[in-house]
Amino acid sequence: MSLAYQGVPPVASCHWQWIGNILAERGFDGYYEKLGLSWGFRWFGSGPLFGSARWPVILGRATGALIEIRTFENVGAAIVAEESYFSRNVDVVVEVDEFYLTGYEVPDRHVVHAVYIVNRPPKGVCYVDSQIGPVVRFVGSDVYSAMRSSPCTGRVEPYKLYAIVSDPQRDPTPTEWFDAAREDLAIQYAPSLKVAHDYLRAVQADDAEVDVCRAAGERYQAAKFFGFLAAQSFPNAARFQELMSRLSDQWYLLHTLSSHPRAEEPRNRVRLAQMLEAVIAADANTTEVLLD
Amino acid sequence: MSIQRHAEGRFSPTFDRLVMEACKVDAVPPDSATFDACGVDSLQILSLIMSLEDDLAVPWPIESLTSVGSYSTVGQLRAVAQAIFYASAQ
Repeated sequence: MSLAYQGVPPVASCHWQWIGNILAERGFDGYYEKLGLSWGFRWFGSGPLFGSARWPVILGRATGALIEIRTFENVGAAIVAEESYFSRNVDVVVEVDEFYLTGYEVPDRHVVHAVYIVNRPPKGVCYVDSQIGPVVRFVGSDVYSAMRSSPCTGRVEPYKLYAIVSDPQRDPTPTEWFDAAREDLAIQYAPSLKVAHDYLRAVQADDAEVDVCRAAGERYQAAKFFGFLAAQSFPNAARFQELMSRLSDQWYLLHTLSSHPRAEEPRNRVRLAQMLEAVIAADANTTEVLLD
Repeated sequence: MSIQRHAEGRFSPTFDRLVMEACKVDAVPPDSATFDACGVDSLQILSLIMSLEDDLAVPWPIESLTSVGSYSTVGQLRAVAQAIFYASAQ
């Protein structure tokens, strides 16, 4: 297959790269830049801080496309669902442990990565990893089960997959795209900000680790969305793109500091909590500007 | 010796040494050199800042730390580090 988008995207944004590739392959060019329709927070009382993940709902409302995000209780249930999608010609992107993939210079990392399942021959699956390139690789069923099941750093959504069930049915105008994102944000952001503050209090009390790359990835993708609008000369979009890019950089910097070998030092733990508070405030301020 | 000269006597040799270590070079890179071109990523810039804090015994304010992403050249980092160090030496 050809890949419109390849190479190493920022941490926690690889699934968007794949969905952009799949839609481009089906003739929907430029959707990679249109997928960052939401930002916000989710937290489950422990583990990482997630983004809002509202974008498939907004995309569905705006275009009629149906993208399902699913998790499963065990690998058997996940594979049954994957096979069901495959039998219906529904494209599926799955989260796996990068450790099992071929082509990495640092082969000993256990991190979540998204790959596209091209084929399901007997006794295994064929996948493509857009970080590496359009090379189809085969793994046996045992290895595939292991890479789907492996506990990676911060993996709390088990056996996650993205199924691109149906294509966009209409192409919204830039105003319709913007309104779709803004309307959802107006409803969802305030409650999700409370979740971020719950997370902040847990970090300040040393009851949670700073793990924010997923929130960072959502802002990165949102900046792309405003970049798309800016390219259409949509009013203020260039400014929103700049604000969102800055915000994404701040979240990624916090992620980088939290991943630093010296992150556990007392002064850095204090600093991480302070930075988290500052970045959440910047997130809220940026959102306020956009909703104004 | 003025406070400023005393501070300069401590700051520049420490900054230059740590930048050379981070860039893995034997000569101080020019202020126009980008960290990207020197092969220094954001994680290494954070390490460099922590080493500056250790060796100069001056903590970086949180607002300067959240701007680390905008320090793309040696000169930009030097200017911020110098301002922080001099302010603490006053």
